[in-house]
Amino acid sequence: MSQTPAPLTVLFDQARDGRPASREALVDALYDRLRAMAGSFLQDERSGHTLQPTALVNEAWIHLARSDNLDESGKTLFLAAAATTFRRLLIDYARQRNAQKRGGGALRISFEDAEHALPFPDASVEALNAALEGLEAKYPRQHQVVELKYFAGLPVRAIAEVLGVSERTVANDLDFSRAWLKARMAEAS
Amino acid sequence: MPDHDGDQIYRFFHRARDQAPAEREAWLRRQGLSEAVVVEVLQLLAGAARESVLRPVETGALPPRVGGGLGVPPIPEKIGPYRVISKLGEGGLGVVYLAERREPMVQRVALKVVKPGSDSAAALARFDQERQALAIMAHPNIATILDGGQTEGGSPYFVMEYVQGAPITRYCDEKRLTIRERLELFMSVCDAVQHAHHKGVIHRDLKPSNILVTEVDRRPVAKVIDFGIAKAMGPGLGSQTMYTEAGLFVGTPEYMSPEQAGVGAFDVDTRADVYSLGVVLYELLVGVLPFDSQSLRAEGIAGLQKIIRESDAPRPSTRLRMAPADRVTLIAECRREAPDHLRSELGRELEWIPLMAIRKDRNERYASARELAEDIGNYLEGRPLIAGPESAAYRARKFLRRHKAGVIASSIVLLSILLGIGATVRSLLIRAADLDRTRQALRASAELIDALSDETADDAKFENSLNKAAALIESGENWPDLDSAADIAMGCAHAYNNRGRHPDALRLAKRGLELRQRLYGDDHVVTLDARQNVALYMFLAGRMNESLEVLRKLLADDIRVLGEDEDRTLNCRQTLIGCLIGLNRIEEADKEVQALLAAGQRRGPAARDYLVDAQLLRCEILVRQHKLAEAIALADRTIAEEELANGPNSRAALGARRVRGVMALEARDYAQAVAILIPTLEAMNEAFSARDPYVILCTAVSIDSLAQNGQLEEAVKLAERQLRRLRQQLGVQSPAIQELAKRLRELLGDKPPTPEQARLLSGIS
Repeated sequence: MSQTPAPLTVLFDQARDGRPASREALVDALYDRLRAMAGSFLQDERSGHTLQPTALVNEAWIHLARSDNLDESGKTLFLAAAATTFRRLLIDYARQRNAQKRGGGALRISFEDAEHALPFPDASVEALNAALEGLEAKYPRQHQVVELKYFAGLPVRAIAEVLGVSERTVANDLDFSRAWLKARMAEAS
Repeated sequence: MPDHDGDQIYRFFHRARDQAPAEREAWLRRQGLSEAVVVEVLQLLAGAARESVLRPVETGALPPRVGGGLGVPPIPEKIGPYRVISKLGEGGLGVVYLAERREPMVQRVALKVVKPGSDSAAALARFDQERQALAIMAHPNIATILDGGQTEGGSPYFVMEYVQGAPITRYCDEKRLTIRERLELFMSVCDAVQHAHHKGVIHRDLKPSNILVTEVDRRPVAKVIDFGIAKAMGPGLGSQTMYTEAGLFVGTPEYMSPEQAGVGAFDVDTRADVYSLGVVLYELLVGVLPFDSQSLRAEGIAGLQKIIRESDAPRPSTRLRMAPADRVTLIAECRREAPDHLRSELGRELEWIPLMAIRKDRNERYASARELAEDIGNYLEGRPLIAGPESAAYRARKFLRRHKAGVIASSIVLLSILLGIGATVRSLLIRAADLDRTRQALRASAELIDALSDETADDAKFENSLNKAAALIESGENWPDLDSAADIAMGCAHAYNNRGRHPDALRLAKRGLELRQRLYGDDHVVTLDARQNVALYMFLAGRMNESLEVLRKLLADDIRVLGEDEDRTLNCRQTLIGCLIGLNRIEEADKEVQALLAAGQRRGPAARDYLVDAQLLRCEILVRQHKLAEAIALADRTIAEEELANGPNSRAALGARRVRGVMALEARDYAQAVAILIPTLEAMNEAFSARDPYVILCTAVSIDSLAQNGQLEEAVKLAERQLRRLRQQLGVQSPAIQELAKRLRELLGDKPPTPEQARLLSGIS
């Protein structure tokens, strides 16, 4: 096996064939790119320290699709991977920021409207991350729905497409996950 | 907790939510679940209940479900006095049944049971109030509301005349109705809506599935159903159509007016129905909706509201061009038309009718359904329409045209300065129809807007943004909306031109022309406009003979398409005259000027500006023919007439006085030139900005006159002052600034510049 990272197109093809290891590799490969892009978003004075996942993910897709010659069929895979990547990125970013500054552990994730807002605007990233990990362990699909919704900013319809379930299911999963996360966060605090 | 529990928790969380809140715990305990699961579910439910922002309507009391499962509720046997026969359909609001009443006579009815909401009692009360109004509606194209009541479960229901028909859009396509037949059928729908409005009833939910078409004696008859129901259900329930528990939009936002799209926006009047009618008409004509359903829903509620409230609907002919070819063929076939023919029929005038009906601002829509019907009648009978092009775009183009006219009327040397004055702001207002693709474009255009609005910005930055936008446009299909792309290409052309980069301007203008040809065809007025721009930039790039050829052909086309006296034709002729004078082909120019004068006189006061311009061009020709006295007489007469018509400080009067000053200069009467030009320039300075072409042109000749008259110091001062003002508005590469700087340098000669002068001249080569 070559030591140089496989180009994205290869990773996409492998992930499309359902090889879980490639999905991990894809997330890793996306990490640096998304971080670079998120970095420029974060440095943008106007938005302060807020992130707009929808914008970022869309931008990333356009960018990648062009630079790596990906076709539309890869978009679903990309979105799923990007959501995971993006969540990691946010957590890392928050940790880093917390390490730099004393106290004030809250990172605000800004979404354009209430519909996209995670119901815990002021929660600490650590607590949120812990709750999300708990959700992932117990309810993997529901966790993925949450990731796609809040970390890739996808509308319900698109999530349903990505996961191959009905919109109704996505809506149910979201309701459930929100309640579940809320309960876990309440326990933690 | 074992996995099995997790599964149960998930399932029973949702099932318990269908129970009334007060009964949930008891219900859960009856399900034979472990205590841990019950506690967990209750805890989750408590969390979910607090979260009311996302769920405006907490479903407190759903109808009891037989079997307690997630399945479909069974069809009731009887509702009130009606025997239910079958289910006709189900929507976001409720279920519609086909039912039958035997007393006093056998009658088949459509019975709509509304899903219960928080205030079904209030809904019924409102329905009772409405009933009176509904009862007095009697129109052959309205399905009557017969009755209303409350089911045993407490849900309100409405009883309507049963109409066995297909939604109007489907009917028209299946029967392949022609455009004319569709319009005629649609007019009867407008009539029905007008009738209801007259009785004080607003529909509020007009859409194809509420406009059913049946056949009577093999002729199509439209029937509007559900009149007054949305209102009867009132705000409490009305808003529920839009949002489900998960915040999904399940109503029919495609047909909803912007004023209805806001949450809690209930200031709705009859013009909301006009809007919905407009969308239906759009669909009947074009075969697609103004906003693609998928993109409408792709961005969530906020995005959807944004599109409904802010995005302008594309013109039907444009929309059709954007659809895939096979789709268009099919759409055309359903209308018994060839695709090209359909496009041109829509593009000619017809498309303005739906566009006017779906204006965002209801004050700009048709005032009533009747007016909409009347305008359709106007179209069918070939009378002029009430509807017309969108005012903003129209104004912007007019603005551009006016300025271009000004250029030509002025001396050719400074021609290039004027272009680009019309800015391009409108062209940069992009419809956010497809966010994915639009994002990149928006970013480029945002940079471009920044660059354009600050023309003094340093060149590298300006160039960078401009080049980026230009490259996007030129690379082909990257702009989501070709119409905007064409406008932006034109805007970039103007901007390049402002920087004195004529070949680049020409390249972009050609690209804009190409796009417009594709979108609008060869004979559309915006395409003709674009050709004129191409000719101008060609001229400025030094390809004068080529430009002349283009203009001659354009003029012939203008006359053929629009006629001899249309604004566009006059404009083109002016440009042609400018070009001829520039080539020193004075006799040909004179012939064209005569034609322009004749047209100006035929047009009368409405086209006074053109007449004035024509007379001034005539002056210029007389000067070149060495008939100075005659030129001066004509200029004096022009000034006197214009001042009489529009006062001494009208734009045309000031422009004419400038020309008169130039003549004094030409006649070497420098004192008189100064006496005319300096007050004229002051008046212009007051009325227009420093970069206005009139000001720029007048400044140049004023400085020349002062210098010739021996008032060197004043000339320098004037040059300094105007240069200072201009540098606040334009970049150093602008021909206007370079021209002025050249004059200042000439005036200074060998004299070392003062620090202030050096500052003013800095950066200018």
